[in-house]
Amino acid sequence: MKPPPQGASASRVVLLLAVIVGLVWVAWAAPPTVILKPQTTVKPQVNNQLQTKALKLNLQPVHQMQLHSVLEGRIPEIDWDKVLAPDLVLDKIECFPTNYHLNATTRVRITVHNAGQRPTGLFHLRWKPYPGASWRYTTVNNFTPGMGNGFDFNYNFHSATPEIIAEVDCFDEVGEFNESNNTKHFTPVLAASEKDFAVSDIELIVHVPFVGDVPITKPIVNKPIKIRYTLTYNNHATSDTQPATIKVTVAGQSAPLQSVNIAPNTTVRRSVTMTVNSAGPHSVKVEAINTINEANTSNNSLTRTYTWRTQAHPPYKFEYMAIRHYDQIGGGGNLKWALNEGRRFYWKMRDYGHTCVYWAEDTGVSWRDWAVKEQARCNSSNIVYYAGHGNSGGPWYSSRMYDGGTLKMKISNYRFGKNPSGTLNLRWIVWSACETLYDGVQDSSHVNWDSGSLGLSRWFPTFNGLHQIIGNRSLGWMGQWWDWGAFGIRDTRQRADEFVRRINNGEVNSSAWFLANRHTVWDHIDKGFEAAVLSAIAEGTNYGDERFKTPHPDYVGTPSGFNYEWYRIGSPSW
Amino acid sequence: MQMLTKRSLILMLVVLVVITAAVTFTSAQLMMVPQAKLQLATSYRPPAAPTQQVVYKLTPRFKSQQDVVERARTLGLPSQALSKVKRLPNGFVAEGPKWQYTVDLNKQLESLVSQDLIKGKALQKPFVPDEQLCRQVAEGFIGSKHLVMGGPDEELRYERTNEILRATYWKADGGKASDKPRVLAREIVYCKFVKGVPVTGPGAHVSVMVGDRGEVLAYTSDWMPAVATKTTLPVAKPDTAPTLLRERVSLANQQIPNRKFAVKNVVAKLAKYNLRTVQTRSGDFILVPAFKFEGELEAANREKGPMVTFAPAVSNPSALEAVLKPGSFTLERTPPKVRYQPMLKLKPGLITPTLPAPR
Repeated sequence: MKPPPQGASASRVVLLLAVIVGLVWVAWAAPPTVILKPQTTVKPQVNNQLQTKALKLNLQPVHQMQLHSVLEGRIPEIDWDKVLAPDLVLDKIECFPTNYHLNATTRVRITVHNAGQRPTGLFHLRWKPYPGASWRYTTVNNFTPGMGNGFDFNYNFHSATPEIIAEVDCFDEVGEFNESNNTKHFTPVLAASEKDFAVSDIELIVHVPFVGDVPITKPIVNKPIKIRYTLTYNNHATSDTQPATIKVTVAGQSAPLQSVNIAPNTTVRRSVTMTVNSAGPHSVKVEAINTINEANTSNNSLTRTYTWRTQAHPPYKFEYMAIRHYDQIGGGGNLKWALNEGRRFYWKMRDYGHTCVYWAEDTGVSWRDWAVKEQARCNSSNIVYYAGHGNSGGPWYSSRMYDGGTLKMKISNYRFGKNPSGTLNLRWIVWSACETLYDGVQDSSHVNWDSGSLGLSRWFPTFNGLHQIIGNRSLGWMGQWWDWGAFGIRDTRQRADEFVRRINNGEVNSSAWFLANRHTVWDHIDKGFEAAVLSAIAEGTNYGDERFKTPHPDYVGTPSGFNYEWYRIGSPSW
Repeated sequence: MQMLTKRSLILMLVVLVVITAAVTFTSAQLMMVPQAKLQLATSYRPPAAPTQQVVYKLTPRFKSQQDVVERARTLGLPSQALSKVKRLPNGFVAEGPKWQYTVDLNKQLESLVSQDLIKGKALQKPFVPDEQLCRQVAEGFIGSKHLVMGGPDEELRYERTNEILRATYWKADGGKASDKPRVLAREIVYCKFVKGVPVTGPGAHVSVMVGDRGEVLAYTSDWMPAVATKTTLPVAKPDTAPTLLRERVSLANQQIPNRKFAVKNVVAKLAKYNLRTVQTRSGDFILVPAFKFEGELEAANREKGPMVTFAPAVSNPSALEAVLKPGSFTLERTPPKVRYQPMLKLKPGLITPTLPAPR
């Protein structure tokens, strides 16, 4: 065998290389070829759902993977029987009621549906309430594509740690497209009443000597008040102690945090003392600021709103005005006992330690005593006593009611309570005078609140913090002028005397006024009269049962109502 | 010149006299008490009155603290309260857990008031029985304890009922539903009658206040037993009653500085014979004859008003003046305590009358 020539060998190597390069080029540059074998069997109605299923099987369009397949030497195929198979899906497990109670019937609902393209045929569903419990089975005949159902089971949970496990097609009777969505776990939530921490109550407490702690609803400004809150922890399932950190906030101010541990099914009361220094509505908020492991956290804080108020207290500032000599101030029947009554009020109030800030008699009186509005002198005192003539417009000062030719002493010019700087002073007005609380009705059949100029509502706008107007419905009695010189005991000083004694004895103002009048005119009731009291009702407080010595806290807004009490004695006249 | 001066002096004298006369006349007019015109209404009848009236002396019951304590014990105050009786300017006060008992020595007025009333608890949710039942409760209260004792000439009669009422206005309903007053308490008032004649003035009245479900809230009395004296007063004739009334009004007009308010017209509608309490110069209370007038008054400024007034019905004013002097009359006899008898005796069932259930 002859050895090949040198030139011929080189030519063969070059040719071989050219063939290889050519083959590589052909392989790389040739147009893509669809090589999916069942291409002709793909139905035109294959929808997006199928494509989605195909993607789930890691199938990709051939043109994207051809090179890779060629390089790998494998050609993937889709199992269309599987793609179009039924698919049982266990959607959800629910409990009714949502939060279960121990040892009470709870309905467990397991919802299943067929997400596949073909019917399922017969299959079984099973579930158990606890991981260690035995299975409970249910047979289902058939689910057509898209069909679903909720299966209900009743069960009494007896432990606080249930975990429901459910499985559909538990015997693998259905050849499913996806076998991984047949099982679900669900942890039912114990009802809040079974395991629940709560701030259940807030109370405002004052300590009354010899009585103890008394809950109140009307806290007083600048007086320390105990805020007592109640925490409850219900847990019938476990015996864990519940820790909580409590924050109390009043009127925007927070008390130091308090730590509390509560044993199951117990109530704990804690309190914190705080002081509020501004009148008006303020919220009291008690909240647990740490995380509480329980079902219901919405009751872990409680907010209540209370209205803080000012409160008058003895000793008081007082004034009196009295007119005997009406002939010196423009006319009117003189009243023999008026000055004595006013002065007796003065001396008695002094005896009880109160302070007189102003008084005026006869020519000393002025419209400024009662008008105009907050500027009136009466608004400098806590209680003002007037003895003299009166009518349905209040005290009657004859010509002293006028400033020049202008009538100053009229109801529209009266605002009783606060002084010009907004400080509430005047709580009680006593008008020992005729008809100041006359309502136009002369019997006991009804009360005229709104009708005409004599309706008692004429006085409503004057209550600018004022608690009570104490006066007369009928003609008052101060010794009728045509009785002068008549026999009998008729010293109406005793009215002021007894009234002051009674109110300082802690008696109710209205009763004190009624009894004082009754006893003063005890032996002279032939004429008769009606002592009356008009009291505000505001913010849940009825000032009609108020006591001078321990008055109700002041109201902040305007009265929502009024009480009118009167004592009809004998046959009154008007 | 001399004549001229003389004439001038005479003229001046005349002028002076005229001026003086004018001033005097004007002053006299100003000083003159206006006379009231008296009219008798068609309903007016002369009061039926005896010709002579025995003067009764009222016997004060309270003179010392001991009297007050004894009385408080009778009324049921506990001994602890009796040991703490406080002095008042005119009397005493004892505070018990249920009652407050006060006595005014000047007026001889005793007042037993429920603590519930004076503390404001009694009038909260009242259901007050009707007037008839309240009267039964009142008479049961007085009768059971024999609180009112008196002589054979006296008796206690129902006079009137006073009431404490309340109405409440709510702004929310505009007061529409709240104008009906509610009776919180009824005070039954009794009056002394002596031989059938009503007595007015101190020493003559007793009252019981009845509240929720018939509870007694207060007992008040200035009752003083009346003892006949040997003194008698001549009673004014009934047909002189209008004259006495006119004198009474005239006396009142004298004391009214402002003539605008002097009584100008009097219409007398009713006149009754009464016994009236007066105080003698020595401070004793006695009963004297009086006419009680009811009617209308009209002042000089045309203001009108009701009139209830009394006039001493004594034909000889000096006789009245005489009995008012200290020691001017003598007691007929000293009344022994056993002589007094209950003015209201307990009737069966009065203490706990059958009350309707609260509504």
